[in-house]
Amino acid sequence: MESQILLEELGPSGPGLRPRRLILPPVAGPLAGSAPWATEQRVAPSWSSRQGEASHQVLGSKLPPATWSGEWRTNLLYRAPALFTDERGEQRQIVSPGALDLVFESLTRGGQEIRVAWVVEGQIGTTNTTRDVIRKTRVGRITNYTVTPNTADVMTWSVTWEWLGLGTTPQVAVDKGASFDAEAGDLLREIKGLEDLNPAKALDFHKTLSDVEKIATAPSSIVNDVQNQVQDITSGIREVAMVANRAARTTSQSANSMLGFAKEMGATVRRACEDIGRIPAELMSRDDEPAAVIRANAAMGANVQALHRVDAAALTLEEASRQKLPSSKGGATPALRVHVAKEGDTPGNVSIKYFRTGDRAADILRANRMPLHRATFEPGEKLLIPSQALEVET
Amino acid sequence: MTTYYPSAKIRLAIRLEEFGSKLVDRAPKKAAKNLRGTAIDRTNLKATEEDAPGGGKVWRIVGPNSGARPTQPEKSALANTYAVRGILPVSASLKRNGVRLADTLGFQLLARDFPIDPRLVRSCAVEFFLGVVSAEEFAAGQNGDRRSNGEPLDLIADETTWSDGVTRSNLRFQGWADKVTASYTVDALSVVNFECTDNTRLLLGQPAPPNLRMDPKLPIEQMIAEYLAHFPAFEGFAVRYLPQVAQGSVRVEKAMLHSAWPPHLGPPPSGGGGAAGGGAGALSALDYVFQVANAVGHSVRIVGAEIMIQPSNTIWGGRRAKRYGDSYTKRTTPEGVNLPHRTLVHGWNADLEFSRAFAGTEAKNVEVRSYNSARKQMTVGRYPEKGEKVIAALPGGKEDDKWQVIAIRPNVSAEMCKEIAQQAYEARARTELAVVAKTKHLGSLGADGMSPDLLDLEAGDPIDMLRDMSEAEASTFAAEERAFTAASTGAEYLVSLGYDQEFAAAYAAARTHVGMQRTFYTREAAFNFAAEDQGLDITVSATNYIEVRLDPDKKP
Repeated sequence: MESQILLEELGPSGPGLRPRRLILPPVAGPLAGSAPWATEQRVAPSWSSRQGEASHQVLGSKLPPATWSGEWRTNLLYRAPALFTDERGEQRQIVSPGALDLVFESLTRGGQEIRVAWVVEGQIGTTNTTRDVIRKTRVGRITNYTVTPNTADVMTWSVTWEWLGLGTTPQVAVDKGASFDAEAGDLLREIKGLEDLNPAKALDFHKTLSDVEKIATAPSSIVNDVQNQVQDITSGIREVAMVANRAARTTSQSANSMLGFAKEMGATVRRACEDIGRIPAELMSRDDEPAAVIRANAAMGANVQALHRVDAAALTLEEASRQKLPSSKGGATPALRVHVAKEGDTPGNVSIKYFRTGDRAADILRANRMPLHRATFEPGEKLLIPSQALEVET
Repeated sequence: MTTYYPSAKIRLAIRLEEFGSKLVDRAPKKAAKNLRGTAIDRTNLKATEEDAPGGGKVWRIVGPNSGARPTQPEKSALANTYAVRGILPVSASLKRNGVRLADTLGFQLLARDFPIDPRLVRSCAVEFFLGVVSAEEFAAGQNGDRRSNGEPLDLIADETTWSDGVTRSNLRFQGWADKVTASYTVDALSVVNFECTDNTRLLLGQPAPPNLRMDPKLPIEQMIAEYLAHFPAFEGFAVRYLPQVAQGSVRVEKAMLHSAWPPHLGPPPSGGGGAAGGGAGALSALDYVFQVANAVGHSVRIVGAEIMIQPSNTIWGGRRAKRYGDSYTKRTTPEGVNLPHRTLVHGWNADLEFSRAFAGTEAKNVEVRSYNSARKQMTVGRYPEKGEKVIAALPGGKEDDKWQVIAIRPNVSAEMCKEIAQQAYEARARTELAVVAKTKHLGSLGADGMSPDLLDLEAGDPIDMLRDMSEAEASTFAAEERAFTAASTGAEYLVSLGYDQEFAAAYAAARTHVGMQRTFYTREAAFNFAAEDQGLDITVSATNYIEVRLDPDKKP
């Protein structure tokens, strides 16, 4: 079961602007047990001394204010960023607690009515194979928002809601699968679109904490340089992905020779992620406008996502290299193949199609970052099929 | 256990100012001198006889703008007037005062429910609905179901069917906003406060023109309706005569035939009418209606938009006719006790406070005079009689034994004059028993959750107030009184507490022979509704008199 919290303004904050929308993944949402949804029935009782029982006046239900609290951690947000659609309708991914802080502060100060929806996706029950969505919705306003920065990477937050009503369910369901699709599509584009190799350039980026501190006090020109550097490193790592892809097409011997390289690549990427995470989101901006900061941060988040995907590709490469592929089966087999799901496709069917056994269904789901209980695929859904080399071992 | 689902709503008809209106090419005239804030061509008003919804006939003052009620005008006819459908008030306080006072209503709306700037409102008609909804409607309303008019099902409907199968209106107040205040606060939710008075205020605010008289040849209800049809403020009002069987039978002309005034000119407004002198003391149209109705022994009540004319009832009058439209039905408890009036029992369904207000005024000799037009002399009735006059001491060794003279309508018999004199004498030095009942039960004893008969309580209604002394825990007083009656004589009990023997004996004798009044008459009923937490509280102030001066030959 996966859950998300959707925050959606019911009205625009100004003429020509669009209502903002924020989707919080579990890591950015309230902590378990810290997001009560209370409903209260107001009853005015009346006792008289002679009566053995009370009389009741039932006055109607009320939604008492709720305080939600949680914690934003950079490393967790990298794995599952928040999705923010700003007042211009542009969608960004947020991976920085600082940027989320700005969004929440802006929502609080805006004072707009906000629809809050809790979306839970997954198979409900044992016989029902369809994908159900449970929603709990409220409409309210943020009356108190408190954030306590522990470190640059960890912030504790709490939000108090004053509810106005139950509200209606969102017009468009929040589909977790959409982000998977986008992610898979991005990876495919990255892998297919890159031509040149320049791993040295990719490995060029590594900064110490003192470097980061310098950046933190740097004027905007330096910040811009950092941003350009991030763009460069992203391009470089995309190229590394290409290496990984090509390496996976080689024989097991070649793969073995690539193993060390892949390990080093993975470590480098992880270091890059950590370093970028230390850079305050504000520095990613060319000015002090919150929207610009958020956009810069979103761009940064997209880059970090690319890093993650490359990291995953490097891991795939590492895994492929370990398999010692027989020459007869290696060769032209690509490390990653794409399957476009058709009506009625299930993980089992797809597994049988590519691996002649249904036992690889879990691997397919894992490779596509889907929940293991996922029963069916949507038509048109693009699926990454893990390397066939794994078939030998299973 | 009784469960109520109380609900209230406010319905408004708002007349906006013409700020910035391109339809008006010059500054509009100042608002007419009435709360409706609009000038209506009075020549278009006329009184017509209609069938009344509850049976019988009423004389209604109709004009081009008449809606269902004065507070519900037709938007098409009244320019810039708009109806606002039901809004749940945060709180509301309705006070039903006596017949000569306007009922008042104060309520609060959340600014988010009523985001209207009062500066743009020229006048505002208010209707207040209060009652209960059924459990089924409440549950459906909580789930978001709505009526055909768009209001949630758990918001009170215009009419509700009670447990006895009779559908009754939930409209408890019709009136006009006197003051609207928008409080823009930062910390709490902004609210808009309304202070309103009912339609009585329209009648009180209309001066009686000095030369405009009623036509005494018409039946009294038609006569009053024709008179009121001269004033645009009264469009939509109706005049009803009660009891229905006597409708059309009472004419002022007959009474005037024996008076010094020329009948064909109609009864004159006292003091020459209100328009002559002007000012706050001017005679109002309602004053004139009262004068004329009283002159033929009738009282006037205003209920909603109806002016009820009926023969007077007094507290001395023995059996009282049931009030027209009263929702209370006589009932019998499972133990076989008849409940002729609404009944509240301390410890069961109300908390009662009894008090006795000692007379602050001295007794005064009363002389009642009535002109006998046939014999051209004054009929006089006195109480006490001449030989029994009350003599009060004055400074300097002087005595005051003067009569307080009360002039009443002409042609009243000597016996009636004496009766009135005694009433006035008793009323002047009377000692009142007052009781204040507070309850959250919306129905009196024996009513269920769908029969909120206390919401219909009006000033003048009889109500039985009882105290259950069978349970010691009902009150400390009850415990003491049980001890008092349990003792072989009450006197012994008092002596055991340390009281003097002589006082104890006297009190025990008085206590044993006392006949406690159980029926009181409602002086004021207040309904306080707080949607947020307190629900609906009812406070009834009722009164009765200690009748210790009754002549032996008079039946109580």
